[in-house]
Amino acid sequence: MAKCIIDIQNVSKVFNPGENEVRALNDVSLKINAGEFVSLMGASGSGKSTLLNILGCLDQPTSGKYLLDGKEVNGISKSAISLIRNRTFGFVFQSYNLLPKTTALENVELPLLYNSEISKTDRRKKAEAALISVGLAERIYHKTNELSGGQQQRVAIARALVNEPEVIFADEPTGNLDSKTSYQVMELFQNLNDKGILIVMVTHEPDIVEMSKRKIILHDGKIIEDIKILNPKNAHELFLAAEGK
Amino acid sequence: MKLTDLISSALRSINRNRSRSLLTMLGIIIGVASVIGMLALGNGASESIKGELGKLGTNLIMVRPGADQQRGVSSDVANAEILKESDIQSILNYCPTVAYISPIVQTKSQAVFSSKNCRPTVTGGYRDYFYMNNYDIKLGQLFDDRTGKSLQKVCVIGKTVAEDLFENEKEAVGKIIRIDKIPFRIIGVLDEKGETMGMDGDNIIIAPFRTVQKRLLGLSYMHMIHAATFDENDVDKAVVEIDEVMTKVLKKTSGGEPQFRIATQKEMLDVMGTVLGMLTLLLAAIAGISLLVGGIGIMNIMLVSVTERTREMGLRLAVGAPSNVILLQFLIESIVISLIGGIIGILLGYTLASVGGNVMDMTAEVTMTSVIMAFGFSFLVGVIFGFFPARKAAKLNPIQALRHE
Repeated sequence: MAKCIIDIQNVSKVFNPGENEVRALNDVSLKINAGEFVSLMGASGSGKSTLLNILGCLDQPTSGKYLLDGKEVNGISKSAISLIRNRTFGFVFQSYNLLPKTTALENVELPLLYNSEISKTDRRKKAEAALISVGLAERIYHKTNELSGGQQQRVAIARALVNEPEVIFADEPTGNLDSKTSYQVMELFQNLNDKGILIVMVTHEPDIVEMSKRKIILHDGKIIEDIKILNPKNAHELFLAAEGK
Repeated sequence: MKLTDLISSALRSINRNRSRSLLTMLGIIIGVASVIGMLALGNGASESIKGELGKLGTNLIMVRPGADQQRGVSSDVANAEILKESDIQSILNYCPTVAYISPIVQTKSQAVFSSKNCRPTVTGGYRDYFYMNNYDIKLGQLFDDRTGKSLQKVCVIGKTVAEDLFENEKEAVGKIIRIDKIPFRIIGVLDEKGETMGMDGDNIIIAPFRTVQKRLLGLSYMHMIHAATFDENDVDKAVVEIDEVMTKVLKKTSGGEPQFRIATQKEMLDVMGTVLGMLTLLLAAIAGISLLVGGIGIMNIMLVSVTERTREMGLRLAVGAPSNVILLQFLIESIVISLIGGIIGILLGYTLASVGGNVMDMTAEVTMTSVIMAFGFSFLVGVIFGFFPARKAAKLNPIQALRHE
């Protein structure tokens, strides 16, 4: 049995408490183990992004308990949470969220900048390695606005994995990409997952979900379905098929 | 995060947002440069005018007739027959602090030499007149009339008169010129005095008092009395003494209210100083407005970029930057921008002052106060408005900051 990394118990999130309150998450409990590749699905407003943000410590639940690696996250200091986001987590967003007018390298270096244990030369080496691993060896010194959407998302993935996180959270990582580019991005995620990184991804595209290992569907702030995908599709093969080879 | 990393990251951020940074700097540059430049020019102007006034002699005391009434009719002050030559003796007898004294009559007359002519101010006075008003002889000599007995038709001329009447001022000494048809022998040429507040101080002829009073003007009185002390600090004392004596003398002669006025060069300097102070204040006010406008410019730029900055803040938070480190980054960025802008502003202010000073022919000295004030204000505005939006954003959840619109 793999180690349980993420364990939330009875988590609720309420926006605008009071008259117009929105209950984005309603008493959700969920366990995710090491090495999993989880897809969160649901209609818009179902709470999937809110859940992802809470799991990624970008947002705090209104109530409930969050154990990360067996340690409670609620109520710990802001700097401790920063440390978790910096060392344990990596984030990939739908809109990439890269620094504009900045090279791919500098963007990838960004999380390392806030890790004082890493020297300037190491920072550079690690960032270069991360960019090479996502297939952007040729684009290291290109500014982000000179890159295509898929390339920008790959920079974002490189940024997410540069500090060797245990978990990568991805919020609709393929939402802005065409299907071929989506397959390439998913291939990267599958490779990272094969290396043991836990991936939690929000998506609403059914074919993307089929490449993950577990599908969780939310509806009105509750988990209504949680199933294991027995034979995840191989993103690389799908990409080759789309290329027509 | 190390300080070098912080600074290099700030520099990169400034470089990335070049137009925003430049516009912010521009606000600071304009504010700082205008304050420094204007105050320097204001001070320069006031110093140079003070310097010119100083040339006139700061120990000088002037006694003039007051309002004159003859049989109930007010007449021109200048023609008031109040001051008599006997008053000079009274002042000399009873005012121990008065070291120099001269009666003065003045007129504008035509001076002619061969085919050339000019229209200088002709002053009649004792020899002391030269000392009191800081006239120095350049060629020839001064006339020897310490007591006012001389009726000699001799004169000393200023540089402008010498240039107007002679090819070369060296020829002037010994020549006979006609002033209102009366022949005067030139015995000396004065050193250049220069312009004082737009008046040519060299367009003058000075002759013995009685010569001008009797021969040229046919008067029995004088226009005013100039007196001076040895020491500038005695001026006030001398004024009191002269006032006492003159009050007695004039009571004796006219029987009515004392009808004279005493003015000192110091008083005039003080009045001038007040006027100049107001001028400088006015310039400072204008500069202050530029500073304010510059400040508002900085605010605008900073506030307009809040959204962009808030997103950047969100991203940095998301990748695990502690909010105080990001704040420090933003603060350093603001400081660097303000510092660079301020330094450019100071340099530009100095340039403005020296160029303006050259054009206006005066030394515009930049004061440390203006530098500190202008720089301090702009720096604070830059830092505060660069920093506070960041501080606000730092309080948000990363996800709120990332989605800020």
